[in-house]
Amino acid sequence: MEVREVELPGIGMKFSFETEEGETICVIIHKTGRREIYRFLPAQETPESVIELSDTEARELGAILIGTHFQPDVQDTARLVMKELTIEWLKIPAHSPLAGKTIQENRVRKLTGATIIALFGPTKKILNPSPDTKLDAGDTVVVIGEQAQVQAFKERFALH
Amino acid sequence: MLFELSLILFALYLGALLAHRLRQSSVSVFIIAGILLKFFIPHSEVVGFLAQLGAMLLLFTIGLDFSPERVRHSSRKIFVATALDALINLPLGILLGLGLGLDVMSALIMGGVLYNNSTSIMARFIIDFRRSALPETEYAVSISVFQDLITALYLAIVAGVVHAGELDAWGMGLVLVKTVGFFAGAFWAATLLRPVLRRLMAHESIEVFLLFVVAFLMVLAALAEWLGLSGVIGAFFAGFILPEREFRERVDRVISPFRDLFAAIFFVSFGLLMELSQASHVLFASIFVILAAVWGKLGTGWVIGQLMRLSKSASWRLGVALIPRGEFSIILAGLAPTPSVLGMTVITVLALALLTPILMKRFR
Repeated sequence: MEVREVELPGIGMKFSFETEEGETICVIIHKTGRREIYRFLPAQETPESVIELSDTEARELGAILIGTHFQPDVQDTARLVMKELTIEWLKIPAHSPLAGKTIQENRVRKLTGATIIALFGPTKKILNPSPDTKLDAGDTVVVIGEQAQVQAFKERFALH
Repeated sequence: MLFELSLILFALYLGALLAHRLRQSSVSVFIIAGILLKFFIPHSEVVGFLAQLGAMLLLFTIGLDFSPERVRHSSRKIFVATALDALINLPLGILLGLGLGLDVMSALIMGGVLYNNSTSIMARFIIDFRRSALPETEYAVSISVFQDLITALYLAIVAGVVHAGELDAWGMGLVLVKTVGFFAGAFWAATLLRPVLRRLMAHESIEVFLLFVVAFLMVLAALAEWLGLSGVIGAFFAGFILPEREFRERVDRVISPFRDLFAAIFFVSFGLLMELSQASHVLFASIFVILAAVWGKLGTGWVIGQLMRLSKSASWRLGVALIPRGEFSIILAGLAPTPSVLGMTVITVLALALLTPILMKRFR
């Protein structure tokens, strides 16, 4: 998925991308902090609908959308790509070297540069896990790092 | 003196209140306030000085919207669109000026008045009409920002010529060389000095930051004046040179209050200077200016839109977005030897501010 980024002098920034259904979603971040979300139907030039949000509302919506409050089952892996940093939600399969060991034993940061910032499991929910936290198959880790680091993380620990 | 200033500022307060209530650009309201104040107080040197400060701060913040990086990173499409806009509207304005029987100098200025549209007024309409995400908006805002750069160069040349008095080829050439030299120097200095400027501006103290920015502005304004260009041009290039991205928010917070205050006085001073003796004549001539201002930009939008493969309706909307004129046109008009140019410009700016939303509703 490619996000197109354009500066609109005097207004703010425009981000747009096309969904699988061919709709175009366009987010305007105004200089004032206001956000607008435009939804364009395929091959339509005028928006089907516009959502307007204040800065606070937009942040709250953003938090909901990236799954801060609730992670659905379909969510094995997820990605959030910013300019340089990326955050990914990754489910640990049984064959991964991560399963059954602590973060420290796998030397995660040393080997890949990526950092595990959260860990969710059927019974656990750990934010900012300490190095001696044990990871199990079936857990979901939230990893942050530069794109190359997160890529290295996925390759090294077989998380594809 | 204080009595006059108090009257002016109180009138400005009421004007800003009214403009806010009517959701109109405060620029036009301030000028009308000036015209009304004319009956009570004279234009004084102090007001003139404060107004000049206002003009410089105004152009400084316009210049801030712009950086050498933006010039380098803009696509060819934008350059083509900007060139088309200039090639259509500058000559149109000059011809109109000559047709209205103005002297050559005033006609040249009329070209700039008609060419430059107001980025800030346009941005407000685009936001109000929820058109930020539409395809033509990228073109409209980019063209509008580039216009400011071209108008600044144009203004430098025209102001230099006004300064020199006579319009001969030799003097014209000299002004041209100076302007291009100043611009090239600013561009070069901007690239070279950027890391140093960035460090100086990153000082933790707001006070240091404020004084650095204003001193920098004044040095360039003085330099421009010394070269025989206009001080406001120096201010524009000061904004152009300073790295804006990372300091945008700080500049907005620290400089904007001063700009808003002095710019308000700047617009009031225009009202105070307005010649009312030929009002009916000016009003009549303004009809032609307004028509040219609207049709020139509608045509421009259409041509650019078709060239860039925008749809028909997007092409019309692009033209409409380019219609509002604003502070830059008024600064230009103030330099015209014929006083009626200022009158016509003010009426045009007012009329277009009222007309644009109607046209925006019409061209969906």
